[in-house]
Amino acid sequence: MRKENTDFVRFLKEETFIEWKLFPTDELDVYWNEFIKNHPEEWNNIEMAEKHFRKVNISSHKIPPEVKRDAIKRMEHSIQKLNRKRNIRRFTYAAVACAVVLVLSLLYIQKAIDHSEQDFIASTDYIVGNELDSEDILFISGDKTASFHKNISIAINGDRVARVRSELNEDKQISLEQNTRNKLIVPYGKRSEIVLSDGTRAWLNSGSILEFPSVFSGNTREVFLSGEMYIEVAADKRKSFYVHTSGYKVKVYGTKFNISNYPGSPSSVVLVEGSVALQSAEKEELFLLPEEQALYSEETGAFDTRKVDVNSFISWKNGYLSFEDTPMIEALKQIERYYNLSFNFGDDVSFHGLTCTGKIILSDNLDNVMTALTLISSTNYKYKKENRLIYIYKEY
Amino acid sequence: MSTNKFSHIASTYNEYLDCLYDYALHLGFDEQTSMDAIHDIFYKLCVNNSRLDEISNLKFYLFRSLRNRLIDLKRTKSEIPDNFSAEGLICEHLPFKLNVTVEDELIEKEESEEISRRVENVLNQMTQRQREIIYLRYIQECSYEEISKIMQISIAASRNLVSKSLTKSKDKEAM
Repeated sequence: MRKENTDFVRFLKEETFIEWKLFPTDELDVYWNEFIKNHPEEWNNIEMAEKHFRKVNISSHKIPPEVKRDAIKRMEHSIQKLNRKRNIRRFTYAAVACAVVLVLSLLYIQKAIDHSEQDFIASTDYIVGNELDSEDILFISGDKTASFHKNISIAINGDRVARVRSELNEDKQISLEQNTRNKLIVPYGKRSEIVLSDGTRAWLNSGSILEFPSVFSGNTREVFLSGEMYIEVAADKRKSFYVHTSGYKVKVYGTKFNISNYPGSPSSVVLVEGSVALQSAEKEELFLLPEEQALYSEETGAFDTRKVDVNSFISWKNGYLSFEDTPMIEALKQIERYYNLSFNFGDDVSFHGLTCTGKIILSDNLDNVMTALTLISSTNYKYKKENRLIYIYKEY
Repeated sequence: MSTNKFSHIASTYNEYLDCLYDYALHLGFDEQTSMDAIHDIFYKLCVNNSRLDEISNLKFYLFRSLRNRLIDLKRTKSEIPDNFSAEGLICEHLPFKLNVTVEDELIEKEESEEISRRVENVLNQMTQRQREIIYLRYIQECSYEEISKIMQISIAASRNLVSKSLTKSKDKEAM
């Protein structure tokens, strides 16, 4: 029986067959398919040969058992070591965190103890600034809130859709509610630009909140501001534009102006182009001419007007600050807002009476900005940065 | 959680050690280098925090990593010039040897020996890389697609090669 069936072995000895089974190239496929077609009687043998070809072994290398055992042990050892290292690292993180908390609390206690002394130092020599944590820009419409980590520009079209573009170049579309007042909240350290539904364009400085409707549906266009913005109002004679602040409102007759209304800083309107009328609750309307600044007095509710260099009030939107005999404190306050810092100036700080004149480019590098500030200040001040603390001090 | 993941890596190591070792030796590396290289690729899986269950085709992944690791080892020993990717250089520097045995009760010993010789003959006429393909296909049961990724070559191209044995037998017939 067995003998009869060994005819197939012929094929196993044939190199073309072997090669075909090992590495079937197109050429070999054609050759052997042709062969089977021409020799149907060999079909059975070929099938047998194929089956037995599987008994042809390509030798394999066996790992000696003791080598394999050692290798597995070594692997487990490496993994254990890695695990331990990870645990130590994790422990280290925890330890560092504890240490930081400890140091911070010690500093806090120290600060409390040194309080009187510190006041003394601050009143004579230096100002300490603190870099604060960055916050997100918020855009709120109805019950929807969108937050953005980078500066944004928003354009609102007539269909109540806000197209938001961030500095990361991400586009986002937000559809606004019909009858809601939308809010754009720009924290300290951030800026935003917005085009309202009527085409009015506003640049919001750091630490500002602008409230505005999705569409200006009534007889007037009204927005609410706290903080600072430079605004170019789109002309529309039939619909007056009003900017409301906490103390007064600005009636606009198609124009460009800067309005600054920060808590704790003098509130003012600087007219660049066109004409505006200011009205506080108590007083008559006051018309402002281009290149005039109206300073609002919270106590009297009255305005003080004076001629100014417009550029120094709107330069922030073009990426630099411009000072002319500007009190050092005021300059520092602008920088504080722009970079989200917190300076410790009290009433007794020796910076009073000091001014600075010049330009500071609002670069991303705070070091450059602070260095520039010390250079343009009237007295020779130095600046030093340690971690997140900034010291501005007089050099002897 | 990470301990579980590592123990998974250890068991995977155990499972694939033999076939990876076999492959490395066929690629012409010695026992020690082969074992070290396998150890290295698994260690790297741990360090990178790789999740094995997220690797869709583990065996193929390991083969490819091992091959790359071995080539790197060879390169650091500067046995290979930097422009290694050239086909000719791979052949030169990564020999692939296959030894054949036939164990078939049905076939007599003498005939078995002849078949072995013939198979070896065919294999010897092939290029190193063709032998590697055969190895991966028949011994490790990889698909052609996987093989082409492991070896970073196009299988279709090598399948279009002219068959040496066929040319030889045609010559014989002509004579």
